[in-house]
Amino acid sequence: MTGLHPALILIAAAPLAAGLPGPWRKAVLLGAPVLAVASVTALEPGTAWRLGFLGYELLPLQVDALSRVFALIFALTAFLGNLYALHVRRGGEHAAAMLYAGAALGVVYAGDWLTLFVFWELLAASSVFLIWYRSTPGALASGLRYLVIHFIGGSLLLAGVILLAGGGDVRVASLTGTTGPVFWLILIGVAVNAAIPPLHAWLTDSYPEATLTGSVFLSAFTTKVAVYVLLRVFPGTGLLVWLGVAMALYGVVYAVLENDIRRLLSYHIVSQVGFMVAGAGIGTELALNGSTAHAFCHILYKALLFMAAGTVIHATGRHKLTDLGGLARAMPAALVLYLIGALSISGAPLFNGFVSKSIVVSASSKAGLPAAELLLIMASIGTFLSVNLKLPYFAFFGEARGLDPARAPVNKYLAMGGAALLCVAIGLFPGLLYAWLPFAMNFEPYTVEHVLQVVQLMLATGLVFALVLPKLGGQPTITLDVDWLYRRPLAILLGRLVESLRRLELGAEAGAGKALRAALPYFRNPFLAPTRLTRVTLGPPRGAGASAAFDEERGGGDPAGEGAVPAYDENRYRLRAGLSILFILAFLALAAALALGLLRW
Amino acid sequence: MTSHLPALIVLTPLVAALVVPVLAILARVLVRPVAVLSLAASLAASLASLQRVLAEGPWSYHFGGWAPPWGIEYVIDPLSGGMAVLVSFFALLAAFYAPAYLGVLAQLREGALGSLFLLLVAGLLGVVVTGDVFNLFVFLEISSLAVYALVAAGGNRATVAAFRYMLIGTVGASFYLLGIGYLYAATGTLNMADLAARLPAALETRVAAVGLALIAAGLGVKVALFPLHGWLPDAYSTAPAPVVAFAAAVQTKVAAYAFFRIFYFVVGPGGPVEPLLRLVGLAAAAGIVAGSLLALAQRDFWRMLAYSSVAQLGYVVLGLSLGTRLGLYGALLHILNHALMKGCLFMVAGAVRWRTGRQDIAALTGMARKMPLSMGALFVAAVSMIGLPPTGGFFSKWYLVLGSLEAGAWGYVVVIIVSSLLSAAYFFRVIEQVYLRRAPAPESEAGRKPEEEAGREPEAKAGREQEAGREQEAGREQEPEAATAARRRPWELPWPMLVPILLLGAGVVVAGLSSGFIIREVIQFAVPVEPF
Amino acid sequence: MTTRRRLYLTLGLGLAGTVAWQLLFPHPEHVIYWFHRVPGFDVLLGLAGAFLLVWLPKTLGEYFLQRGEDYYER
Repeated sequence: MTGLHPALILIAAAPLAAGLPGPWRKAVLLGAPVLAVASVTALEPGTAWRLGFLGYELLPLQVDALSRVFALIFALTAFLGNLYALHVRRGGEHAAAMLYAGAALGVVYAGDWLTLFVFWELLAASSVFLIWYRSTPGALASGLRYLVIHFIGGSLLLAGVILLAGGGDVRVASLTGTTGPVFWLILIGVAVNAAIPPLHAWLTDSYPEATLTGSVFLSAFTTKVAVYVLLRVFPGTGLLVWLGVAMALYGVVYAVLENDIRRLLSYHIVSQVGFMVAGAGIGTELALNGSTAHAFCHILYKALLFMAAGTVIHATGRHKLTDLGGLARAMPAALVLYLIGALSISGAPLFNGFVSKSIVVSASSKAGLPAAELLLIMASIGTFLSVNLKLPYFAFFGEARGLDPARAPVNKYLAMGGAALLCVAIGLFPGLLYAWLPFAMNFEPYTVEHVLQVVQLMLATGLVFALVLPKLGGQPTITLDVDWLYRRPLAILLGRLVESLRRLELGAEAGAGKALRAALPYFRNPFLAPTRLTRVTLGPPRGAGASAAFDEERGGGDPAGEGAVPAYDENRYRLRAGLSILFILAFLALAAALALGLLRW
Repeated sequence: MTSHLPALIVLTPLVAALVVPVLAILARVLVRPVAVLSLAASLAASLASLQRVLAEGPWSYHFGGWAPPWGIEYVIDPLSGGMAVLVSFFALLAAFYAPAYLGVLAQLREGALGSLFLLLVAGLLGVVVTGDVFNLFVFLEISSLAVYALVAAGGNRATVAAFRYMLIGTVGASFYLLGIGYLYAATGTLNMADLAARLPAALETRVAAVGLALIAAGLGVKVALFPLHGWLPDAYSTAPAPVVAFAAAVQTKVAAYAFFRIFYFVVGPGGPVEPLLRLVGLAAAAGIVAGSLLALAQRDFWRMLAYSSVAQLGYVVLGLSLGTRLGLYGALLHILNHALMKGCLFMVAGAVRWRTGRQDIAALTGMARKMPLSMGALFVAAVSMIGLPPTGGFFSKWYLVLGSLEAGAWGYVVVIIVSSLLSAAYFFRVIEQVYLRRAPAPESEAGRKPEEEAGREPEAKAGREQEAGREQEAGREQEPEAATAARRRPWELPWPMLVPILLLGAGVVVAGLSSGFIIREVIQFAVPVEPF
Repeated sequence: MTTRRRLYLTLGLGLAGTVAWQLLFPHPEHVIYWFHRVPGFDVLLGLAGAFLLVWLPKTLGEYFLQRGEDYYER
C-alpha cells in the first residue's frame, strides 16, 4: 500500500467503473475508494516521489499532515458518493465521478505546481460531465458556463504558474507576504474554484442543475480542494479573513430567498467555505486547524444534505419548496437523516459541525478579530435558519400537497446512514478528528459556556422563525446573482465583436471598391485628369446608388435589432479574393517601408 | 546507396509521380502499392538521414556531384531532417486514408490523383531538404500547383475555392520569387550557405531590404498569416478530406519552415530583419485573435477547423518572430503538435462526412454512440487544441508563453491565453454536440416535458404531474439503452481510415508526454546557436 | 393552549433557563472581549441577527434581486 498513489487508484478505476457490467462495476465502485482510503492511511508523512521533466524537478506525491487529512476525507467521500450512486446505470457518470475524486486527491498530494495544475484541470474537466449528464437544456447551458469559468480560472492559475516556473523553483510553497503578478494570478485562479464572491456564481448556477448523484460529489471536492490550496499557499493573508466573512454572510442572505432546495444548499456551501477561507486568512495554528476540521466536517454533512435532497427530488420529482410539503409521514428516514445533516451544519452540540465551527470562531476571537467572530456567528444563525428550519419545515412539514413519493433504492439510505454516522461519531468523539489535524490541538469544544452559547443562539433563532414563519415560505422566483453579468450582456458582446470584424472587412472592401472605381477613368485617359478632378471635388459624390446595390449584393446592411446575432451565412465572413490580394499588397508596402527604415516603430 | 539518401527523400515520390499515371493505364492494381512504397521509402530515407545528422552533424549533398554555388545543394540538418520525417510520415498516413475515403472516385481517377499527391509530397520534401533558395521556389510551386489541383478534385465549390487559392497563392509565390531575385541581385548567389556568408555585407542596401520584405510577404501568404489568409477557409472546407488533412497538417508548416530557414539561417540578425519580424509577430497575434473569433462564429465544422488553423499557425509564426530560444522551441514543438492535432481532427471530420454526407457541426450530434473510437480521438485532439495537459498542445503553448516572457512581450502572453479561452469555447461546443446531445428520437421528446409549472394546481393534477416528474428523474438516473441502428459493419470505419485517426490521436498524447525528450534530442539542435 | 403558544412558552423558558445558568455560573477565564461577559448576549444576538437575516434578504429581493422563473429564457 505504501507504494500506491491514491489518486492513481481512483483514476485507474474510472474506465473499469464505466465499462464493467453490473456486479463487477459495483465491486469496483466500492472497492476502489476503500483501497484509496487504505493507501491514504498507509502513506507516512514525509513520503515523496520525485520525477524530472522538462528541466524541472516534479514531486507528484508529497505527503504531510495537511495533505493526509484532506486525502482521507476525499477518499471517504468517494466511497460514500459511489455507494449513493450505486444504482446509476450510465457508466460515464461513474467514470466522471471517479476521475473527479482522483483529481482531487492528485491536487492534494502534489508537491509541485505542474502536477497540481494538471490535476486542477482534470478536476474541472471531469466535474462538468456530472452536470452535463443530466441532459436538461438548463444543465447543458449551465455546464458550458461552468466550464468556461473554470477554464478562465485555470488559465489565470496557469499564467501564475508559468511566471513562477520562470524562476526555476516549482515546489508548492507559501506565497504569503509576496506581492506581484504571481501572487495575484494564483490567488484569483484559486478563488474561482473556492467560489469567493464575486467569482462564485458558477457554483450556485450549476450545482442545482447537476445529476442528483453528481451533486454529492460536486459539493465535496472542487471548493475544498481550493481551500486546501489556500491553506497551503496563502495562510495568514489578511485579505482572506474579510473575504471569508463576507462570503459567509453572502451565502446565508441569498439562501433565505431561495426556492430550489439544491440551490439553497449551494448557497450554504458558499457560506461554509467562507468560514474556511476566513480561517486560512487568520493564519494561526488554531485557525488553520479549524479551517481543516471545518472542511472535513463540511464535506460529510454537506454530502449528507445533498444526498437527502437528492432522495426527495428523486422520489417526488420536484425540487422546489413551493411544490413540496407534507413529506414527513411518507419519508421519515429521509427526514431524520436530513435533520442530522442540518444540525451538523448549524453547529449543534453532539454533531460534528459543533466541534469544527467553534475552532474557527474561537481562533478569530483569540487572534484579535472580534468583528469577524461576531459576523461568523451571525452567519451561523443564518445557516440554522435556512437549512435547519426553513427547508425541512416547508419540504417535510407545512402544507401537504398530496405527494406520493416512490421508494428510493436502499443504497441511498445506506450512504446517508454512513455519512450521518460519521457526523455523529465525530460530534461525540472530536478526538478522532483532532488527531489528524496538521497542528497539535489543545482545544476543548465541549465547555459549558460554549454549549450554552450555541443553545441560546438556536433557541432565539427558532423563536424568530416561529414569529415570521408565514413570510419565509418559498416563492416561485429566482434571485439574480453576479452571473447575470455574463448571461445577459456577454453573449451579445461576443456577437458584436465578431460582427465588427465583418464590418471592418466590409468597410475595407467598400472603400477599396470606391477608390478603384473613382480611379478608373484616369487610367482610360490621363489627360482628362485636371478637368475631372475639379468636377469630382466640387460636384456631388457619384456612385451613391452603386454602392447601395453593392451592399445589397453582399447580404444586406446592418442586421435588424440591437444585440441580435445575425443568422449564419458563410458568405458573411469570406474574404474576397480581390480584397485578399489588396491586403497582400498593403502588407508588402508596410513590410518594405519598415525594412527600408522609412517607417519606424 | 546511403550516401544518396537526401536525394532519395525527394526523388522516390517524384519518380513515382511520373510512373503512376502510366501504371494506371497499364496495371491499375499496382498504383497503390507503388505510391505507398515510394512514400515508405521516403520516410525511411528521412529517418535514416535524421539519425545520421543527429549523430554526425549537418550533411551537405551535392546534386549530380556539382559543387555549389553553381550546382544545387541539399542540406540535411536536424531541422530539415525532422521536417522531412514529419512530411513523409503524414504522407504515408494520408496515402492509407485516401483510397478508403475516396472510394469510387479513387478507382476512376487513381492515376491522376495519386500522381498529383505524390507531386505534392515531393514538392514539400524538396522545399524542406534543399539548400538553394531558387530550388526552394521551384519545389514550392510544384507543391502548390499540385495542391490547387487536388483541392479542385473536391467538387463544385471546391473548384472555385481552388481557383481563389491559385490566384492568391501565385501572388505570394511570385513575391517570393521577386524577393530572392533581389537578393540575387544584391549578392550574386542563390545558395543558402553562400547567401549567409555574403548577405551581412549587403544587408544595409535597399535592394536587400526590399527583397526581404517581398520574401516575408510571399511566404506570409503561404503560411496563411493574417490578413493574407483569405484562401485558407474556403480551400480547407471544400477539398476532399485526405487532401485537407495532409495540407492542414503539413503544407503550411513547410512554408513556416521556409520562413524560419531564410530569416534565421540565411539572413540572421541585421538592420531590416528586426522590424520585419516584429511586423510578422503582430500580424500573427492579430491572426490568433481573429482566427479564434471567426472560428467561434462558424456552424460548418470544417470552416471552424480552418479558421482555427489560421489561429494555430499564428502561434507558430509568433514563436518564430520572437527570436528567443524558448519561443523557437515552442514554435517548432507546435509545428509537430499542430500537425498531429489538426491532421487527426480533419481526418475525423472526413470520416463524419464520409458517413453522413454532412459537414456542419450539427451533424456531429450524438456521434459518440455511432463512432466511439473516432470521437475519442476527436476529444483528445480537441483537448490538445485547447491546451490542456498532458496533451501536446499544452507544452507548445507553455514554451510559447515562456518565450514571450523572455522577449518581454506581455501582450503576446495575453493573446495566447485569451485565444485558448476562445478555442475552449468553440471546441467545447463540438464536444457537447458529440457526447451530450441525443439525435432527436420519439422517446426522448416525451421525456423532455418540463416538470415545473408556476402557480397552484389542484391536487388531482398534482398527483399526475408528480408521477411524470418522478419518472423523468428515474429515467435520467437509469438511462435506458437507446435503440441504436444495427451496426452496418463491425468497425465504425474501414480500417485504413480508422488506424491513422487512432494513431494520430494517440500521437497527440505521446508527443505531449515526451515533449522533454523531443526537445532534448531533436529540437534543441534545430535552433541556431544564437537566436536573437 | 395552542401548539404555537406552547412552542413560544417552551422556547422562552429554555432561553430564560440558559440565561439563569449563565448568571449563576460565570466563567471569567474564557473572556476575551466584553460581550463574552454579558449573560444572555447570545440571546440578543440570536434574536437581532435572525430578524436582520430575514429582513435584509427580503428587502433586497423585493427591490432588486428577484425575478420571474423564466427570466433567463426570455
